[in-house]
Amino acid sequence: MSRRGSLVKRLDRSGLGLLSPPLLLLLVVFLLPLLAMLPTSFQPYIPGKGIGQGFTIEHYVKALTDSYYLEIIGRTLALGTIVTLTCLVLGYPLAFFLARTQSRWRPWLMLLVVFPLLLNLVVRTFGWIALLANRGLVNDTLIALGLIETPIKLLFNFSGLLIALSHIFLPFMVLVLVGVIRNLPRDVEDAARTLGAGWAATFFRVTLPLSLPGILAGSILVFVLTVSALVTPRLLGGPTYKVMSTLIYDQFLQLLNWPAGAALSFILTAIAVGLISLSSGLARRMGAGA
Amino acid sequence: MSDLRLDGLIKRYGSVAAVDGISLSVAEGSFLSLVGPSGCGKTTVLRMVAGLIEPDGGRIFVGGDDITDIAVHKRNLGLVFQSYALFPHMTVAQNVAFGLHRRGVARGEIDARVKKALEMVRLDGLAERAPRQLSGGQQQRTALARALVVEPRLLLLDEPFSNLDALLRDEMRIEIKRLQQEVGITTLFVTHDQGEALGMADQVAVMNRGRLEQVASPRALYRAPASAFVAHFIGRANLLSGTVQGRDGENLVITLSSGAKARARGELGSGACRVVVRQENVRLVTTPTATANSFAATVVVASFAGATAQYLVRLADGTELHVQVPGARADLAPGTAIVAEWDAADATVVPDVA
Amino acid sequence: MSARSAERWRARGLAAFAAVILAFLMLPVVVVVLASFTNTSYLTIPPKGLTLRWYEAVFNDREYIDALWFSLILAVVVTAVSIVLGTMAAYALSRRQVPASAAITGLLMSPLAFPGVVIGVALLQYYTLTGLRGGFIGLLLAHLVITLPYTVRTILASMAGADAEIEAAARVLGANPWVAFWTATLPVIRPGLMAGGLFAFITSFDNVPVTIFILGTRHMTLPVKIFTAIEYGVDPSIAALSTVLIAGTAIFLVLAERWTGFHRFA
Repeated sequence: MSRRGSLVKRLDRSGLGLLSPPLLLLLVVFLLPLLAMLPTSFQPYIPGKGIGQGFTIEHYVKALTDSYYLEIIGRTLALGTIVTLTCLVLGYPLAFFLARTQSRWRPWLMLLVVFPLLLNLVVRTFGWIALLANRGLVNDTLIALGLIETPIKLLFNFSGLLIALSHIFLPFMVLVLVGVIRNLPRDVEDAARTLGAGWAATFFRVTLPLSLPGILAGSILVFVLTVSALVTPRLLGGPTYKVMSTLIYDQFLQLLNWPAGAALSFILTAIAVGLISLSSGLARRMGAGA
Repeated sequence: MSDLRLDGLIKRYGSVAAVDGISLSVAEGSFLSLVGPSGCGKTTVLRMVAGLIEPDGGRIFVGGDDITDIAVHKRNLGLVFQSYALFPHMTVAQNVAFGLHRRGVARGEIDARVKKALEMVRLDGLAERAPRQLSGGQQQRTALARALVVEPRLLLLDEPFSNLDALLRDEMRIEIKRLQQEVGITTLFVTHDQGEALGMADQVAVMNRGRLEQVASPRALYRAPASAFVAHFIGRANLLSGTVQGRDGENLVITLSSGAKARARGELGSGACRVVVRQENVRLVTTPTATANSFAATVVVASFAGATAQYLVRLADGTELHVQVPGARADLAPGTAIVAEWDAADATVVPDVA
Repeated sequence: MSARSAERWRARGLAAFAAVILAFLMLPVVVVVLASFTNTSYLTIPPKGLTLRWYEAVFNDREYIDALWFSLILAVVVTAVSIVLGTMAAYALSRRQVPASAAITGLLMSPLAFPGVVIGVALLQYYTLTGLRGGFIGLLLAHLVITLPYTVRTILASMAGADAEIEAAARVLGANPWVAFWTATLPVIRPGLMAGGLFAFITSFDNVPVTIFILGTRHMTLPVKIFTAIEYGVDPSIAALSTVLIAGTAIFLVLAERWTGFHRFA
């Protein structure tokens, strides 16, 4: 057999022949651009003139020490945490119901949960603008019910973003949890009941601990999605109430301070990727223990 | 400890009655096997006793108390699940302690009782292991310890051996029987394996399609099955079709479908019947015995299985008989002309139900 | 109260709570649809007067129609290529001895872990340097990067359930590798292909965080157009356009469920 023939054979057996187009794509259009942005984050920025020559870590330092940046980073992380908790509290009971119900409407109810996910994010966010505006449905209803006199400011602040982001990412949490709860072994719950556990003891000592891997997976997912979000914070936060993503957006498209934007991007990425690796590491350990 | 009484239990799924009027008693401290083919409703009965399924009719009494409407967690029964259902996120010791925690037993006492329970099932030393680190047999013993440590009024076992290999199964049978006698707990044991049912129980209840066919001691069930179903399900038997002609002293006289006459024991007065002859009660001889039911036959298939040998012989009219003889006597080749015979006392007449 | 009726009340309570949350999930959708019919020139709910003039405005707006077409075409092309690449990758990872397969799988999934905005700005810089900014190819490649993880994931899952022996049997019977794949394996993994395709289509059609940075003057996608329109100020025409999209998505979902049993993959 010719040398060329055996090389082709080896490529085929290792699957690298099939894998090269997708891998090439990722290399050229994903890894390279990210790597190319790295040096940019270390270049100095001269206001009015643009990107200068040289190497500096000032953008990273500024991001982690300057109060303006810290406020934004803090706000992003706080949003992530509270949205995650909200989705957990609202999502678990819904997921439990969907996982356990025998109703014949179940497939349709599941689709009802999936439907918002398919809907354009911009459209969903627009819906929240209509709801939360000073003359929006929420304020109008509260005034009509006599609960408040003047409209509550729900746009361009933390509360509005919190409500909208919880709504937008709730389906993710629910879908993850439904999958996990459906796979819980049912006979252990029966066993707990025969051993004397009422519904509360069964739930808190058996069902909930066993669904912990799913809770963790769902939480990390929602947290990362929240801190990465761009569209909703931009539309509901406006140009002045920023989170990390919208700040990066401004740096690149408005302020043209690409180095600072790049540095912030890597910090945001570190948070997201770091959390995801942490969760897979934890999931592996918990999976082994379960 | 208490006795168990089931009174007309019914459970329907749609238009099908999975359990169709089951009445049963298990005496205090005794062991009853509920046996039947898959889908006969035996597990449903067990789960109704445990409270996991709500009956559509009938009552359940434990020690004279009507527990039919009491919630699962208040019944104080012990249930060993087919899959063991050990809590995967707890250690062996924590699994066993679970029921004691629910009853508010003091911490020190819990530790002592758990230790004793684990010793009883010979798992001391494995208290800190996780369930997935245990073998099948160890998991089952953990499930047993967990069910018994709370000192329940009844022990319910749901096909506990189906996930074990044959050797382990034999070991565990003896183990559970020993435990049951030691503790003296009233036990209801569900299985589809008739060998298990006979081997362990004081009483055996045979179920078929939601109804009880017969409840008797293992020996009585074996020697005097009440129906063709029981005869065929318990032990391997030959069933010969025929009609009852009348009585002759202790025996019934039957005309077989081949036209020949046979004698057997039974209570059937008249009508179509089946004569049940166990495989090990058929003898293969060269000269027929006068008092026995003897028929000329030819050996069709011979197979040697160590302790026993299995023969298939064909009678003159084409009826085939399965015969089991001790392995040492296995020397007949296919094609040999032989006489197959059995004593009337070893055969039973049951009604022929189509 | 007996244990059984307590259990039933608990179940009803849970169902009621679930219903409230589901209603909450539908709330913005309902609001948008209602707002699209208002006769006022500003957004108000409940709508004052009922009119279809905002729908008329949307259907007559050349720019919106162009953006819609472009988004659709882009999404279709991206989905097709993504399925092909995803199948190649999933097949290699399932049926071949790939060195460092875990690392390669991780790499293929990695775009999911990166915030969209980060991918967007990195491509902004990269495309500006390579001249791809604003062009169709650039958009196609970028969308491929963000949709590939979905197709790889679902097709990989499908491949796990496909028996390799069947393809081997086809080969023994005389089929060459390509025909064997096409006739023995492809029909079995079709659900994974369709589910992955659906995710890819939606991801491409809806995308803003990556797309907004690499668009130039030549093309415009629908979500980015709506996004910038809202930034300038909201009015009921956006509600009308949104309602059209909502209706389209709903039909799409029902069809997808009918064809693939979609809900099992979600």
